[in-house]
Amino acid sequence: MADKPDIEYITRLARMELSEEEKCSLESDLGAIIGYMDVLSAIDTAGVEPMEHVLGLCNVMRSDDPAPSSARGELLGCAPREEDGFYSVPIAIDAE
Amino acid sequence: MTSFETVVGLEIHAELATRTKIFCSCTTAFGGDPNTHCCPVCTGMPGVLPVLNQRVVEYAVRAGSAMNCEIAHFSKLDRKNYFYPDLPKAYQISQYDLPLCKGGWVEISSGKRIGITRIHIEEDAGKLIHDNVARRTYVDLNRCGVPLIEIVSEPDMRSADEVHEFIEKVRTILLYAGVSDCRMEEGSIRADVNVSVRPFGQSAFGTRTEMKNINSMRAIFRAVEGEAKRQSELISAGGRVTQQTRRWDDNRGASKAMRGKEEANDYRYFPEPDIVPIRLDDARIDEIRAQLPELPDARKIRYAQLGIAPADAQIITASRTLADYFEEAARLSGNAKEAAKWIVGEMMRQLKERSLEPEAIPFPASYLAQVITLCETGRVTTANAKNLFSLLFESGEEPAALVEKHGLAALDDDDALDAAVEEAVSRNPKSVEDFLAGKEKSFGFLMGQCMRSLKGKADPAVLREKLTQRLEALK
Repeated sequence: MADKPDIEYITRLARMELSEEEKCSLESDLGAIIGYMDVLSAIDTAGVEPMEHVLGLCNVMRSDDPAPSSARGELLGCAPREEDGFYSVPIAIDAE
Repeated sequence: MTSFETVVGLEIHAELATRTKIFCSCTTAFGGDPNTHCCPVCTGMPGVLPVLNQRVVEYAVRAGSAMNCEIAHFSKLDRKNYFYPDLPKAYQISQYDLPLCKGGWVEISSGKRIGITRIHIEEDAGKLIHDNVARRTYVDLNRCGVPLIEIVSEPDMRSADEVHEFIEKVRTILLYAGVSDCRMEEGSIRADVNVSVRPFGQSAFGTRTEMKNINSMRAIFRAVEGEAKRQSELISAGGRVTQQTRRWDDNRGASKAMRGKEEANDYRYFPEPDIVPIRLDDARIDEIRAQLPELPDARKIRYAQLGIAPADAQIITASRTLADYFEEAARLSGNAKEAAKWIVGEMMRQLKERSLEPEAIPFPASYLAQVITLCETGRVTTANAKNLFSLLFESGEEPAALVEKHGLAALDDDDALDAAVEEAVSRNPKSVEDFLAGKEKSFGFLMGQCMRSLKGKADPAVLREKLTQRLEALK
């Protein structure tokens, strides 16, 4: 049997705040998804090539030619806060 | 106190010298106003489609080939998930289990090979400026999406000196391969340093700590020494090293544990669905490998055959620009030994004095070849050739023109030389007497007097001959 999902840990990694109710419902949903892995694991895959990508394509690349970047105002306009051409966010390191 | 052996492994990040970012067509040019080299792809807007830059793959394969790696026929990209404001997508596109290159090595001067575990491609993050007073962090995403290779070494280094030499060697190889500018001051090459210690003779590794993102050679050297010392002292005092990430503070010369976030290392890698895998067949790998120029080690062997001393070959090959310059000057002058002598001596001295890199040598190799020829034919004395060489750094004129303009030509006027010898002999009877009495030192003084009256323009060999003859006649 697959392990029960650690909802506390997952929400912490995802920086999500969930109510107890939501945690309960997610725990059972994720539990069902993880449980499905047991179904998959039971299938005999001997001789089946691993699939690295759903499209089956490879080497889709572009040449190294520059193109104009976006107007700064347009990009910064999507952010909640900007200052002097920078995105401005709550301080991201602990004070020394 | 027990003495400990230092064990170091590195992860070197080098920016690739492509014109555009790894997944979009924004420029990689350094500088620029904040957030002006950005687009919806590199700022991680929803719904965009990143497309891999072909040159990134070429450059990484070149780097891998130059470091004797096996190049993967099949490789893919993966998402490395973490939250930090320098990474707007909240994941970095990198490579996890199928890197482009693995299993190589780089040889250092002792002949020891430092293993290269793998080289993979990934994107750089943006730059953050923290303002402790305003309690804000300012984000510039110009560097976000700039292509990097991460070179992971085996824990094969045993001292800060070996670390220093290994990084220099990797840097030289990347410069030769033409895949990175390796400018440390612009952060285009930086390293994560893994350090552990163990008692000499013990084969098991000790517990290691990692210091991330150190961006100067001096700081890396000091970080290795400082951290090894800290760990040795800790163990000697009965303590234990904890596996952790530490921050090296070069100003204080000490490392400090970063605030513990236990889950920080759970990156939840998974295959990048937006980028399809990379397949390279042998023909394509050979084609990319063929773009590699002759590397420093191969050149050193060839220079030895030209009669160049190993120490000189080392200096010359440390920079591809200098090595190419040397080869051109050697070819044009037909005198490799002289070309090496000039480059290792006067050229290095002038570059150092003027704080210039070899890329900034202001005159072509053909000028150095001319200087060598002028000396060989006796047209210019060695002393004046040095003056001439210095003048080359200050004017764009050809050596022949400078010789003319500054009166640097050697005197081939026999009468002037004879007159100078005569004058020196008649004016310095005491020195002549001393010399005849066996004081060899007086000869040097008399030579100096002759040279002075000739303003240094005489060929010393010819002058020496004349003075000797004149003195012999007095015996």
